[in-house]
Amino acid sequence: MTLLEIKNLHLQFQSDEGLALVLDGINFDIKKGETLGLVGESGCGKSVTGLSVLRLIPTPPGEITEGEIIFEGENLLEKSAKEMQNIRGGRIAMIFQDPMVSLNPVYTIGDQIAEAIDLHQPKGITSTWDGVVEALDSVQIADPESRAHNYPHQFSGGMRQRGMIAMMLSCRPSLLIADEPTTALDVTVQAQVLQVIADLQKELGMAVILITHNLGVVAESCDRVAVMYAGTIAEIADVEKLFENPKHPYTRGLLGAIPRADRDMNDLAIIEGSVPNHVNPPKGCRFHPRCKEAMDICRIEKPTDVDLGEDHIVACHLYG
Amino acid sequence: MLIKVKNLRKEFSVGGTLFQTERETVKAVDGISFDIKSGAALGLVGESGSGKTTVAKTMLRLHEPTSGEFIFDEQSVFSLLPAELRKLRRRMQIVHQNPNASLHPRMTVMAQVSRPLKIQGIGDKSTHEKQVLDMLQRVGLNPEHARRYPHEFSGGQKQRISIARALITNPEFVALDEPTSALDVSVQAQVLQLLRRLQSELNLTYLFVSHDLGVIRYMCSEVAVMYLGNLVEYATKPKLFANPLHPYTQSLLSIVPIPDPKLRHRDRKMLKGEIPSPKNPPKGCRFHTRCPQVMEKCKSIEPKMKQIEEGHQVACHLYE
Amino acid sequence: MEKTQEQSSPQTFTSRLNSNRSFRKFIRHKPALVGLAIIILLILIAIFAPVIAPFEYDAQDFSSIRLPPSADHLFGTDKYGRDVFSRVVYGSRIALMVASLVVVIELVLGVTLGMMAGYFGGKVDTLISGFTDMVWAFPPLILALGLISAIGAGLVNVVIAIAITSWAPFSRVTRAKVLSMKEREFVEAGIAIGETNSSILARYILPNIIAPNLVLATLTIPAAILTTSALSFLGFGAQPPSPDWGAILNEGREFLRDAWWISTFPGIAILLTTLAFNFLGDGLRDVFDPKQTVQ
Repeated sequence: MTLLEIKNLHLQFQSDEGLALVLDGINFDIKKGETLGLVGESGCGKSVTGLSVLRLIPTPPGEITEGEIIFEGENLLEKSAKEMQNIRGGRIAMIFQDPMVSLNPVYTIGDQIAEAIDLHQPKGITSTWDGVVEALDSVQIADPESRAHNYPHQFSGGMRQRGMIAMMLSCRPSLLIADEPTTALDVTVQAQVLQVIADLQKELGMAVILITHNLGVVAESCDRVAVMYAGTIAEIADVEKLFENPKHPYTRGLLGAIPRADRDMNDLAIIEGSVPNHVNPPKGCRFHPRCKEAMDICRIEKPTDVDLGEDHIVACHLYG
Repeated sequence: MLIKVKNLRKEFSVGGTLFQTERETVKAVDGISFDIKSGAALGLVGESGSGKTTVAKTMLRLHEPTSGEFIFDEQSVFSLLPAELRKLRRRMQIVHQNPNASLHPRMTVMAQVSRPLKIQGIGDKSTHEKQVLDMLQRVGLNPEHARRYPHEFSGGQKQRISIARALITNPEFVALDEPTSALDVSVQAQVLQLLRRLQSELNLTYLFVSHDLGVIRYMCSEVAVMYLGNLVEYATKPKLFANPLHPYTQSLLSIVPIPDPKLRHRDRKMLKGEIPSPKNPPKGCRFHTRCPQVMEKCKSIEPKMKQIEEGHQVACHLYE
Repeated sequence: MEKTQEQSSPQTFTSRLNSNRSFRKFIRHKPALVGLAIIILLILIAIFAPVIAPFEYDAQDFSSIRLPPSADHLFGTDKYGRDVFSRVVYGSRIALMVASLVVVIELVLGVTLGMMAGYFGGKVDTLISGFTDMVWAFPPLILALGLISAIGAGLVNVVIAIAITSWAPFSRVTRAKVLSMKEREFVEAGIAIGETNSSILARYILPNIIAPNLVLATLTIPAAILTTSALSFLGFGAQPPSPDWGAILNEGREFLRDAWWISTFPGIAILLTTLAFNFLGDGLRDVFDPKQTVQ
């Protein structure tokens, strides 16, 4: 059953340089309990997509000009500010790369979780403090009773991230948007945090949008993957299909460009150049200047989404 | 051996002001030894706080060593006088991590890349320009780029400029401090390929510092694993990746995310907790607080580096 | 050979945006523009003083003593029959000269000491920072008064006195900035290619600490002008017949009731000048020091 559906989303930013089309008509959906990886390089629009769902795009300079964001049957773009406030942290939660964005340094972790619980009053919690302790326990913070009295600065980087997850998930959201949640963490701590998210997801039955640049993390923890490039979605598929049989030249290049720790590689795939800017993006397919398989049509016409069957969608003229 | 490092130590003292005279000592690097053959690439891998970057910077005397020896082509680098050291710098260079901070913001590319030639008195003005243009071409930049300032370039291009500046004096040894960790995957692949090509073309000796085991595997012929200021394992690449001996190395290799969903259910050796503060490292083996195979003596006796077979050393009580 | 063909990458996009943004931010800062306009006007007046002023600043005319403002004497005349307008116009030269001399001495002292403290650290730092704090702890006007009573009155001594009592903030700001610059990778890269200490300081660090010191200088100029005027007013500064604004103000003091114009116009000149520098300084700070502005 579809939990969230994004249809033809266009987002633009007014910058000093001119109008930047940051999202150029993206479509995807996510089912209940599923993990969708939103992957791409810097500037591809993966983070603003997450922020758009929660209507956290600063307006101005940003503006959603077109599209729909349907969450549990309702279009979030038509919600009032007040209704959105209840949805944020209630039915949809978001965590960021830097947990200090969401943690207030002058309150204890426990107080902050308690506030979140009081605000949204989730079902099945007997008392606020029990909820706090339970939340910290669920993210494997040892000795949650006394740790709840700590301030954020008394937590290490990995614990802060888990504390934030505890706070966000204390209200049992049906969707968690995790924006590069482990990018600032060491690999041993990253593994712990990803494990915590996966365990809680199973327990709460929530869906997760995992925004990351790390294809290794995607391969390990997602059910489906959307590969973004310069404000568009290049390809969406089940994780196994995408890694085994990538169709879009960008996906193929990206997968071949990763130096792997589990095998020796003689050569890495090279995608020439770098990501274009949003103010004057290339005409036609935005990837065509870097694409080894670019054809004439790629320079003129924006490719449409092609359904290759079994939910494998690619936006590329090679398949059109 | 071009590079011999013996028992290198580097302590930083923190605190200590006019009134508060008590200083804390951080043992960032606590007695490590390794060699690098001419033309080889040694990977130094570890998590944040392991001291890997400090090793590279202390070798180049960007930090003054606390004790130990660094023999570079039979010269003892740590006992050189300032003038001698400056002269030796043409033969050993460093490429920094952050492309946005490692270039002088107010010097043109031509000025910064030719600067080492001027300082070292190599050639004269008339030859500098040609040398710089040749080097720019070697690292994949155009002659037109020479007149521009750093802010006009992308991250990948800035890193190429840093590489050009490091290589212009034709050094034998280059320390690479996480040279691609700030770059996107596709740009990282370009830069890694460039570094590999330059190494074979110019017969360079690399010390490659990274937290990314995939990058290390792609770039290096030998690998040294660091944990909290100590070397825990030191081996040739094939031996380390095929047969990791130290529980820490084993864990790292098992949990590093692999971009292949089919390997998702492999065995992972998760570690508890996070790397302890180097201000107050654990007694005995520094890894014992997180080690899944910890024994009684690990808590009090520090293990010594021991050769297990040709080209494979480990510091762990399990192998005594 | 791999080629990089990107024309405009995201990074160049944002950095170009930044340099433009600084300029735009300044242009949008209305008070700063007003301040800048007044200062430019003041500089022009000082340069063309002989052309603008209808009389010499010390030309006495005992037939026209204490005349109120009129078409002949825009700002009236003083007790020696000197044209107040001409005196105020010439006074701008003194104000600007004092301000620029003070700033130059402050900058040289403050930046040199601050750079040494920040770059070399350790004992050098402890010594310089301690000395800086000590100087800073004294109220500048009192310290200047004490100094002048030791070295004697006069405009040059005033400049020296103000400068050596007010370089401390420059030293502090410079030290803090050098401490952060020293950690920057490009400075380390400079050391790695064999730059000497003096070259690191001059080529790598100095160019990057100019902006905050410029802001500070603009903001200390009003204080310097005010202190000069105050000292002249008290009779320690410019000696007659010098047309220092503070001195004119003092001369008009006794006639405030029946010849208000003598003191009022130099007072307005002081007010406008100090305000102008303050406005400009605020604007520059907003542009160069994002920490003090809400982004």
